[in-house]
Amino acid sequence: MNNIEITQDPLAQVELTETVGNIYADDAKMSIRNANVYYGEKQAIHDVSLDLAKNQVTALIGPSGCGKSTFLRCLNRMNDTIDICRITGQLMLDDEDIYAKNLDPVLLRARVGMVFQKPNPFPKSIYDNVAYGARIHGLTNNKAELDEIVETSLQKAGLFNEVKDRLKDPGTGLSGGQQQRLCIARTIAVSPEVILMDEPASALDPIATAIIEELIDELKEKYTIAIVTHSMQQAARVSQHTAYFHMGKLVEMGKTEDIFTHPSHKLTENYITGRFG
Amino acid sequence: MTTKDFNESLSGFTSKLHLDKHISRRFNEELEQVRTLVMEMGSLVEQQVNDGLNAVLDADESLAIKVIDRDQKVNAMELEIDQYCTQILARRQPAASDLRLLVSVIKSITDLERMGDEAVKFGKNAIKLAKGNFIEEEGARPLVELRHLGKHVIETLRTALRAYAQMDVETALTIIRNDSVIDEEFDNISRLLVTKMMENPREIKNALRVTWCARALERIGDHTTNLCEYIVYLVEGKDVRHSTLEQMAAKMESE
Amino acid sequence: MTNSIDKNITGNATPAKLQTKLSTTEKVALSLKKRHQKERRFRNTGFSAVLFGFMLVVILIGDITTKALPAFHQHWVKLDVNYQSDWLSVDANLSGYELTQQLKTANFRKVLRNSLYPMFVNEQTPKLSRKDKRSAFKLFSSNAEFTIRDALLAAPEDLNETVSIWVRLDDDVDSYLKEGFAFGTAGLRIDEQQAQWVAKLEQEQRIESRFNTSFFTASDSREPELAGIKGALMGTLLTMFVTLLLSFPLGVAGALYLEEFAPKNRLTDIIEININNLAAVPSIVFGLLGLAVIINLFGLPRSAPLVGGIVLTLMTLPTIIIASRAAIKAVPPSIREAALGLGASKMQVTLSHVLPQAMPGIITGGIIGIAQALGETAPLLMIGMVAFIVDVPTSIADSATVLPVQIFLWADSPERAFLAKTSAAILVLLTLLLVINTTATVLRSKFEKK
Repeated sequence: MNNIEITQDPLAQVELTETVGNIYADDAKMSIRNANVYYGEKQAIHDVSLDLAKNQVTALIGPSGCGKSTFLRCLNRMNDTIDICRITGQLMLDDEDIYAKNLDPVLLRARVGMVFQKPNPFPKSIYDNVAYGARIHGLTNNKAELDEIVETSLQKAGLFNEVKDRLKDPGTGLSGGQQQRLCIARTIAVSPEVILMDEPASALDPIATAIIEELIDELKEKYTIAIVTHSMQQAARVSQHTAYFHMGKLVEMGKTEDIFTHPSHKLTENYITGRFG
Repeated sequence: MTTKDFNESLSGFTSKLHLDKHISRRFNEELEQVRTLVMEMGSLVEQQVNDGLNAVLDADESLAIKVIDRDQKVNAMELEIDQYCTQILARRQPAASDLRLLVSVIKSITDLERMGDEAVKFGKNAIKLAKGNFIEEEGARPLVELRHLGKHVIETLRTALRAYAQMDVETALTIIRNDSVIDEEFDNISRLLVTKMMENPREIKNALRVTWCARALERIGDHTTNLCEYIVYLVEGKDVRHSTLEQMAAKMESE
Repeated sequence: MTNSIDKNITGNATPAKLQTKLSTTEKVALSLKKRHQKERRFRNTGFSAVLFGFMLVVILIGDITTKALPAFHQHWVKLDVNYQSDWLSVDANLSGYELTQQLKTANFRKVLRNSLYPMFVNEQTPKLSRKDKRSAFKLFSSNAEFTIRDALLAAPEDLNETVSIWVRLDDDVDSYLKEGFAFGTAGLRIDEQQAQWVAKLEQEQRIESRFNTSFFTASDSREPELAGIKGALMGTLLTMFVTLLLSFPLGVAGALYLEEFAPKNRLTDIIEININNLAAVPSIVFGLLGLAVIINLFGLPRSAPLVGGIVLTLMTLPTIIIASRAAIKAVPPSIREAALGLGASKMQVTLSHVLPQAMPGIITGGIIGIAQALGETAPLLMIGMVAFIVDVPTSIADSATVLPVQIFLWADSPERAFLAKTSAAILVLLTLLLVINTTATVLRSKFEKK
């Protein structure tokens, strides 16, 4: 019974062998088994296994350099652009191996969209920003249909009312929060199944952050979301599942309410309560 | 609570909850302050219960008045700790063990305050009993029983507070399991007093007063159990309230 | 602890030091004065450097402009030409096409001589000596004969009539009139007799200064009064056209490949080092390469803008590639990631995001390369673009020369009038540079606005 880590010597080196908690989801949209990521000789991710539950938000937390962003970027093969990056293990989207030889990363990225830390709208008009994905994937040739896609995407991102009169204005002219919502709208426009968010609110003020968080909550009705965040409160607010990464390992995963009230692992405890040791 | 106990508690509470390990030193100090205040309140309440009971048993009117007056201090401490915890919640947004600590503290002080209120009941009854000559005439037997129950309850409370101070889950669980002993003793006193009342209806009033005192002790026992449940919650993160002993055992076994 | 340290310090300090012990604010105030002085000095140095540079440019441009000014006008003289058919030795009875054919080969020199000698006779010298005749004839441009021929061809009805026709003066006379030297000055190439004649012509108001259109409409010539820059200008434009057409797409494509697509390995490292080294290779080496490979091996025509363009392309490519790579590198990776994250392919990312963003930088690099090529002479000497070419090139395979080479040739010529021509050609070259840079700036700002 006495497996509670906090009763042990806090300075004792914790040899992490297995993830604590529950990594499995009843209805998994993505399931990752024994993922290892190497940058050249250096191993960035050690044997991580977890499920992303369908239509739920999974938060990945952990100190800087713990590999959570690296892991997130593996999920839509953004790491392919880095030559020295090598990935092993089984990463499945529904029942497909996303690292299968015959799977085109372009197609994967259309299914698994990504929103980045810094709002990064293209230096084009708001309309073109949202329409870009639909255009490159040839989702429609019809101007009316494209208008429709742009409008619904902006609406879903909660931005339409703010920008409907200036769709031709450059996207870079919006405020930070609006830019980030524009980026989300741009991602939604391709109708992905999974949305990966890499610290989407870290550059935003609290109100813009709250709007983004509210948006994430709404989006989970239609999409499966994985979010990397440095703000533990944010993880606690938006997610249903939380995974804690430490030094490239998945230390603990479980329901968010459990992780934030009584985490099982000492490292998790220390991290979310702001302790050292 | 003796000074030695207090010092022991300091090490147990602080080291087991790692209250000295926060990156923010200020946060450490704040939680430490909460701990000190709660311990202070605990020992104050313990003294109140002890004095109140003695006032009843010894029909000591002046002690009773003292107990009644001192309740103000208990109430004030409850408010102070409450406010302090609220501030920490607002400013630090604690999580995990820190959050559990504050939540359990907020709950604990309510129970402690209630115990204080029960002690006031002793005081009030003691004043009335002192005027009613119950003690010399009919009350000898029930009061012996009451003294016995009181001794047990106070001992349990003291153990619980020490367990609280040292975050001793095992002791807390033992207290929770043994709660029924107090209930049984209370039933015994009740039965005895009912007999007394039937034998001597003139003394019903005083017998009822003793019943109320016994009832108060029983309530203090319940509050002590609550305190112990908070200890389990605080250390293990498991809520064992409102569960049977079997359910509790199952919860403690589960991961 | 702190107190004891303080005591130690104050204990060891001499009373004088104690008195001068200053507060932080006072110390800052003291040093501030010094810092401000330094700052002023630094600013003034910078300003004087800029001023000095600016002055040099002004002096240079002013000097060139003043030297170039004479080249933009030239003196013409009015002759009363007597188109006598027997001097011309044509049949006056002919008309139409046949007459024109005869006139084309007629002896206009005799007409010219017979028309101009009477202008210089007077009471003292009713007949000119042979020597006088020669020096009188030398007053006029060698082109005068063709000017009067063209006039008659344009109006054949003037046959056997006397007509006033303006012809160019010789460059020596032109220079004499423009610069008004005293006799005996070096560079003065007319004698006293000729000077008197010129004075007489001026008196008769036969001499007139006109804007020198032929400078822009004629090609090179041995006669300064006839020489123009059109040939060289066209050569330059054709060469630049070829250079731009080859170096810009090649350079940008190379830079894009190296930055966006090429794997980072030893091979690409070597390529990168070599590109950087190529940018520092003396340009004449490229000329040698052009001579050896493009002309001798591939057999392309020598002196042609095509070859010149290829050689200059080789020379400008490293510059363009390096500048383009820097511009591509400066495109924020977040834009690439955003597009990739949406599922854009590598090429879509490159063409629709990276390239437009990098365009201003690439254009700047391209302009630096082209400007460098525009002023280049050395490699072109090696491939024969230094030849004396009288015809205006019309295609990239024609023989041609370019402005800098033309300037070099003129600067080398002994005739005084070429001095002004050289400066004028430099002005034209600078103007061309200015036009190119302005175009680039406009293009740049247009891309940046997007």
